[in-house]
Amino acid sequence: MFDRRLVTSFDWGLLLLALVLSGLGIVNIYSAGSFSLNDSPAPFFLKQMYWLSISLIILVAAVAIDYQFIARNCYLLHGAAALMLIAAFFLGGPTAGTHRWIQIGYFSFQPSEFAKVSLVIVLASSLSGSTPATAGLLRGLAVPGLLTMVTFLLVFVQPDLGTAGLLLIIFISFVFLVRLDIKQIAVAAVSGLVLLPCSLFFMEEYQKKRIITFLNPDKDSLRAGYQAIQSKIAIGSGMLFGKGFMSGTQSQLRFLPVQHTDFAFSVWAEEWGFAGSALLLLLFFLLISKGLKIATIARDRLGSFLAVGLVLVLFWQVCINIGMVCGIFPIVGVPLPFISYGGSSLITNWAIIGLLLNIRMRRLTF
Amino acid sequence: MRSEHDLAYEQRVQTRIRIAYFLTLLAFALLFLRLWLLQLIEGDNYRRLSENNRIRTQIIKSPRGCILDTNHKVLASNRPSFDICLVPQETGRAAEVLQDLAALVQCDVSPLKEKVRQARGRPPYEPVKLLADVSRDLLALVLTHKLDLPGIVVETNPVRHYPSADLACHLLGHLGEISPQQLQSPAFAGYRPGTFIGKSGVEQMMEREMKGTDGGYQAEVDATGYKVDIMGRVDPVPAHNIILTLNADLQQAAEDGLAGKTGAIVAVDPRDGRILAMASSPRFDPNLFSRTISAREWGELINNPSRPLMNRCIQTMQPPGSTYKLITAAAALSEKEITPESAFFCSGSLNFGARAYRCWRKAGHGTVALERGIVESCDVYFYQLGIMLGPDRIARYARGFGLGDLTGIGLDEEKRGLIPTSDWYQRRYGIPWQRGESLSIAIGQGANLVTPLQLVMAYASLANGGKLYQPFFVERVETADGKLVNRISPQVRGNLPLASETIKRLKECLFKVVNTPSGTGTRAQIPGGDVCGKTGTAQVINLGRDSRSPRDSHLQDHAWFVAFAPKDVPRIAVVVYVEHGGHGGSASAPIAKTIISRLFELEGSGV
Repeated sequence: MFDRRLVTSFDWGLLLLALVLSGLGIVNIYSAGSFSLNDSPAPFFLKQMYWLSISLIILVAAVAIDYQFIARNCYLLHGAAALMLIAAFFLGGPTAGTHRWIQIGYFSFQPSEFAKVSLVIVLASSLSGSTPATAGLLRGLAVPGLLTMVTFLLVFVQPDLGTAGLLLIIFISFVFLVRLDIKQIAVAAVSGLVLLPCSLFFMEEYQKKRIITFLNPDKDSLRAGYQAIQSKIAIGSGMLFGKGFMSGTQSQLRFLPVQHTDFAFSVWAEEWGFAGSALLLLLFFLLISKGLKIATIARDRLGSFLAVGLVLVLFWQVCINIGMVCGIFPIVGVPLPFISYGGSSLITNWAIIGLLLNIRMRRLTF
Repeated sequence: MRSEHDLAYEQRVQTRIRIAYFLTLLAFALLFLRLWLLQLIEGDNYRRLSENNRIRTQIIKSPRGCILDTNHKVLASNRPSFDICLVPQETGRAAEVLQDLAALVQCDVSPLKEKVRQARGRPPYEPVKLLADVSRDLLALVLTHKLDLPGIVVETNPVRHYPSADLACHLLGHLGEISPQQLQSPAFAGYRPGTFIGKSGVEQMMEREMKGTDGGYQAEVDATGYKVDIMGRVDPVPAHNIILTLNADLQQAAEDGLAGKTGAIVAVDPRDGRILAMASSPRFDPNLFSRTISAREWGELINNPSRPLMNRCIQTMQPPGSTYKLITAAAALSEKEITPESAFFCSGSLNFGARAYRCWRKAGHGTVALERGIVESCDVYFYQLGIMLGPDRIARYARGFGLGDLTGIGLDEEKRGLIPTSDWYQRRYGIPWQRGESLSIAIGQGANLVTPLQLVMAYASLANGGKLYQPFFVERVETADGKLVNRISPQVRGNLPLASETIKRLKECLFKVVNTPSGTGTRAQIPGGDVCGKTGTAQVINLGRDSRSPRDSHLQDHAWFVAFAPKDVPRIAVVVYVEHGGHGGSASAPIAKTIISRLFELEGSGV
């Protein structure tokens, strides 16, 4: 039977926030992609609008199916995502030496985007199934840790350092937040600091270079550091009110690299200034705090954990993307939710919104 | 059923979510502050950087000013040079393109690669010059294959051109690439590397006037450097043109006169000191210097024993020979040591000290007074005057005639010459003046050194009645469309320290040098032309030895002839100096005659 409380508990504000962000994203892509005469016959903003309509269908599904049902089938879901990651090695023609895409007909999508959400569902389901006291520390973390490692490796070898790192950072922050006590956090933090330099050993040359470039972008301004510098110039030159819609010289004259995807925020900040970029920050903050609110009022531990995990996906993407375009984080390929162009990313983010609405909506049903 | 563990755990998670909320707040505050810093505090700076990104300044070169003769005949102008360049950022495969280009124009690829290598570090949108000043055939070849040569562009640049090749090359001077030292100096502020500047002659002296001011425009470019829009434009300010006092036709006559010889000719207008012709031989082609001169061409010019780059009119210093007798005579008359009638006996030589000083005529001139002394150039007569005057009094008059000092023509390379005095002798040799030297200097041998220009200015001052002018060759400076910027007015350096009576008498003597059968300069005679002049022979080997016999042309004496005409109000003074030419009367006087007649001819035809 249809429960009236489902409608009264629906978080219209969250839906509105996501819609506004998507709308601003399309406006921004319109400007950033206005040069695209030779890249694609269909302008990026039209494609993004098409992706948005698909996203809204996904949203309905993510809201309608009870998250407990989804969580019960989380291994199936994540297994499918992992299979797609493997399939990308065989199906997708490598773009610039990578295997990130699966091409189906006219469209291509990035399975690693879906893996972010499916991994979070698996982690939430697994971590909420026990308590630290009943499971013990290592046994409780064995399954989620192993699953994360496998997913991490599948993405890492694509290679997609940005997304792989994102998965890792989501897992770590997730475990820190919901599982470890203060003493364990302290031990983990110290051993992490020791192990971090060792990870440099496993990185590929270009990945190391990016980190070196991040530390000193002016050293190599025509190659690797170029993106970081041009992005900072774009953002900074926006000043208070920006250069105006479609008037950003850095973007319109293509000084910015991949401006409609990873550097979409730079385009926004150049054209709308500090006023615009602060507005965007505020919208993201409201979105995340609404997500955290849902985590506190969820009907069960699963819902609560799932909300936390989903919020972490959004939070880290926003922080890493804005951090990298304004020069406080290395340039890694992490898109800005709702603003960057990209179908897989948009659908994934809307699925996250859908699941959050789902948890919020069912807080009072049993 | 919920256990105690569950409740405790859930409580902890609730706390953690609140902590997460504050951590989020913190992270967003950090991003907010970062954007504040970039967009508000450092915004101006980034705005400027973004402007620099998109705005590129292109230079529009202002062509160098032209040099014209007094009748506006073009002596130096500019022609377009087509340069094949490579824009590094517009080619992804520079090495391949260079290889293709080299194969196309059939040249060696390694110098091209070297040029591209040297240009590393320059902005990638700046063209690198590969082949300068290519022929039209080569240009057509490259342009038809342009599509196969990405990044190859053709630039058109103005290049200095001297239409008459080597005509008046020494006076006009030549260009050369600005040196790194000059670039550093404040005198060349605003010059860019690679600019060609005047290195000698008019080109150097009038560098400021002929340089012009480059213009430019600002172009908005995209990330690949393509022009999107032109934003602002400043037109170049054309350089000024220089109009010389030089008469190209007379210059041609002077250069023809020196054909096959080594020497110098300077013709001036005695009425104001303007230079009508200034020829030095051998010559060079200044067009060679308009582009980067090759090592072979430079070596040929530098190692040539006749030194074609030297402007002999102002740089050669030689004893004036008998032409100096004018000064000795002027000194003796003015110092009242003699009267025009004072006579001496010439037996063919004069014994003085332990030596016999010979006259050029072994048979002697017999009894000689002033007029015959000059007309027949009797050495013994002037030995006597030298003994009476001594070096310092002669030197005072020589200086009065402007000798031993810069004429003030304004060319850096001008030499000062030398007029010996007893002080100078003491300093130079450490012993007092040897009296025998007075005999040598009285006939223009010994330590006296003059330049052809000094000598002609000295005679010109006598010709005009006593005014010593500063020679000049720039008549006026005009804008590109012919408006007067500056007109040079004649400058008087001083007046001859002679009574007008003396001047008149000396002019009369010089007239007779040319116009009496016994004169040494009869070969300069022009019927009705009233040419006045004086021959001179600068001895290459010492008086003591026999200088009359050598057949070897390198031991031949240098031949001088200085003249002016017509006698009463002279319109031209000319010096002809022929190195190793032999006697002034036979080698130089005929050349002076052709130049003077040429001037009269040009005046007569109204040119």
